[in-house]
Amino acid sequence: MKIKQPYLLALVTYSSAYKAPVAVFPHEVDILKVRFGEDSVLITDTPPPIKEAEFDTEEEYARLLEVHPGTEAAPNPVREVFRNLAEFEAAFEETPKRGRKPKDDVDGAAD
Amino acid sequence: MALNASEIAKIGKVAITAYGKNKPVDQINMDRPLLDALIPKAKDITGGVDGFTINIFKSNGGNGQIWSGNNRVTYNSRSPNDYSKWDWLNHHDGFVLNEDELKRAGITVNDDVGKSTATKGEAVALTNMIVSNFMALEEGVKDDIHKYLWQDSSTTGSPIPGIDNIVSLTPSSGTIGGIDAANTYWQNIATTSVATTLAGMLGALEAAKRNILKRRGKFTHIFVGGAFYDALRNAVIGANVTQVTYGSGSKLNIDMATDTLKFDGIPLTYVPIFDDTSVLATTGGVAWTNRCYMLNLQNSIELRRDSDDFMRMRYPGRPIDQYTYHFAMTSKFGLGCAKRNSNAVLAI
Repeated sequence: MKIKQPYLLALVTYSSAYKAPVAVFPHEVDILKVRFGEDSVLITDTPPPIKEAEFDTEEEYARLLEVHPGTEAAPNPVREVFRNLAEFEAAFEETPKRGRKPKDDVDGAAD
Repeated sequence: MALNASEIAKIGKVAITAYGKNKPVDQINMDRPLLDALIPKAKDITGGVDGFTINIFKSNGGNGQIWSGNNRVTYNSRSPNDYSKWDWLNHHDGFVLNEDELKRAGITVNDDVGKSTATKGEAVALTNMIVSNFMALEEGVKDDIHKYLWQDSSTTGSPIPGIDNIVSLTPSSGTIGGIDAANTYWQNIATTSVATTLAGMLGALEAAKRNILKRRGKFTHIFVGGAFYDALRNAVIGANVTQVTYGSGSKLNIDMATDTLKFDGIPLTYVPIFDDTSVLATTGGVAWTNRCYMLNLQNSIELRRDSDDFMRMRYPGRPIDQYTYHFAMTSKFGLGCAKRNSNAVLAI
């Protein structure tokens, strides 16, 4: 499934002397939070180097698993957010439904 | 105790190596130009609670005035110095041999103390087995360190910044080396979406050079991915036409390869792992193969390592409940930067 998403610039805090920006897709933010801690990941207003990109969901899920591996102590953070590819893809299928306007509004807009 | 399939496979390969009498020919390892460039100039990590610091000069705090006659003049307080603060990490890699593996390879292990009673065959087998494993360990450690030196912490989970963080694609965000990157003096040069025309690429390289020189900086190395290298080479080739005239009976000897691409006298060094997404995964939408780093490895970016514990062989004791032999290599290292604005990253 091909999806186009914008990039966000997240700021990850590793220590008081080290906070680094990383451009991620919106679905990667929760993975970063699982991996580095809820309070250690902030979304900034700074524009990322690339505005948006299209990806294949299967390839993107594989990339996420590779980029965010688990450790002996902690399970894979990707699987904690999206247990499998089907769940990952479902997240994108739900997105338009959430943003859809009530029927009356849509009709009104058509007028 | 039975052997598993992978153990048998390992023993088989070692035995073949012994009979073949040739050193195993490396099929997979890649050049590590950044590590090779940093190691000769690496500085020692000394003790300290908070890693290490590098002093920087950040502001003249100028208060110049024009005066005449009885005008009063003013004085200000200055704080021209600051320091950047960096940390180092511990790295480990290791392998284990068990007595069954050794036995199948023709090596008998006993608990005797004193002079070795090993046969000649055992010594050859052990040497081959150990040498191969040690080579794998050393090459693997170098690969891993080289990856950590480049990659972003959000990918590696490393508590120390890599070049991707120090020479950032978003240089004004974050806190690097304890200094807020919002300070304009503490920002590297970054240009993305560089056009792959000759004018576009040379324009970006020239602009980066000028921005580095602006603050008395310089760059000493240029590291590129395959796509950036090819784009620049093709742009250069596209802009140059060579005409060759030869008479009948004469021979032509034409080498079609590109010998070296240079910018400002500095060769563009190809970094093989930039083209391997299984090593350096794409983050932020900018693939490594599309990148070009102009780095100052003389007095800006430096490798700090513990001279007593950098790629050091370790021989942990045998566990009480396993007849195994463990071998490890450990390293303490980190990157520091004295001048972020002496470095640039470009991406096509």
